[in-house]
Amino acid sequence: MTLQRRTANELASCLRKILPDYRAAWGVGIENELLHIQHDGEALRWVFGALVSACLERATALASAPVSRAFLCFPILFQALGAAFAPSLLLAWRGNHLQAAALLGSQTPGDDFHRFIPLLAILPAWYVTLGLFACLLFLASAVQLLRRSPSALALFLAALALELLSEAAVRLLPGYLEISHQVFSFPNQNFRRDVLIPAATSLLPLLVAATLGLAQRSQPPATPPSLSSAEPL
Amino acid sequence: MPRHPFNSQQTRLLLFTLLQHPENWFHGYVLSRVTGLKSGTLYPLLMRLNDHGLLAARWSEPAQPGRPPRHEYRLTPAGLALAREQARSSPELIPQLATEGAAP
Repeated sequence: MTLQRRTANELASCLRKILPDYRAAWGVGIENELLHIQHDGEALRWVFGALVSACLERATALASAPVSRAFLCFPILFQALGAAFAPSLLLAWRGNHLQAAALLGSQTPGDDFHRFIPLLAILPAWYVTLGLFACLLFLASAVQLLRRSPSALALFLAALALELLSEAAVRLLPGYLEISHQVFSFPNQNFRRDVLIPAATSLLPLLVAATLGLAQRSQPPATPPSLSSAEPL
Repeated sequence: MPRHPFNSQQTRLLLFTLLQHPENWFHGYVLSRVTGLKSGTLYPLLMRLNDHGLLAARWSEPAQPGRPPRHEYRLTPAGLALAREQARSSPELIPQLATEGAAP
């Protein structure tokens, strides 16, 4: 037996373990098909392709599980809070609700909202509207995710797009970039503040969107369909 | 509600292949050779079609004693109806099947 054939056989047995239980018959079918592929290289390519789809099936099953859905709501809620934060601070400051502004400001580096006043002074009303609307879209996405609705991903992506659009548009305001640079400059370097948090907040929405996409790729059937539709030998 | 994977070119190619010989059962590797779809594309399509009741799957009698049975597939009546409907809307794919030769 060549190395290619041995590898194909080993990968086929891995494939059966990777597939979810309700796909067990398919795993056996794919593995049995190997015996009828004469060329060893072809057999290896055959099982490798099937292995990739098996991993995707397992990921779909995991992402679709109720626990996964519930867990996925947390990063979505985090996104919603992030979208609402700046607009909320702006509304609190402009409405002279200084206690609320101080509370929100305590969640920022420096623990003081007064640093942001030059920035808050130039932010327009539409920034508040867009930010709060994005927050609502994120919340709607979380609700739809729990309801197993396919619109969860679309709502999440719409909210992300709105956030990005808002951030891009606000950068065009005269003086925004200079003031923003002054506000967000700190004398000392901090790995968590300067690298870790920006990386995490950039990566998180991508991971959530990818997981939402997997969760909605296909719902696992309630009963193993292959066995129920198969005729006995 | 799951997204139905019925509109991709690969799905239509698979449906048309099975439509050519609706009474025959096809093994996975044969389908792969005829349609040109790799296993990583073919099996997810087969699973989705089976999930939605468009494809029937069964274990065939092994050709030689001692060999394990093979999984084989053909369209259900609902699958045949869908394949015919898509054949009417995508006639450009049918010549491709004619050149590849959809035979069990």
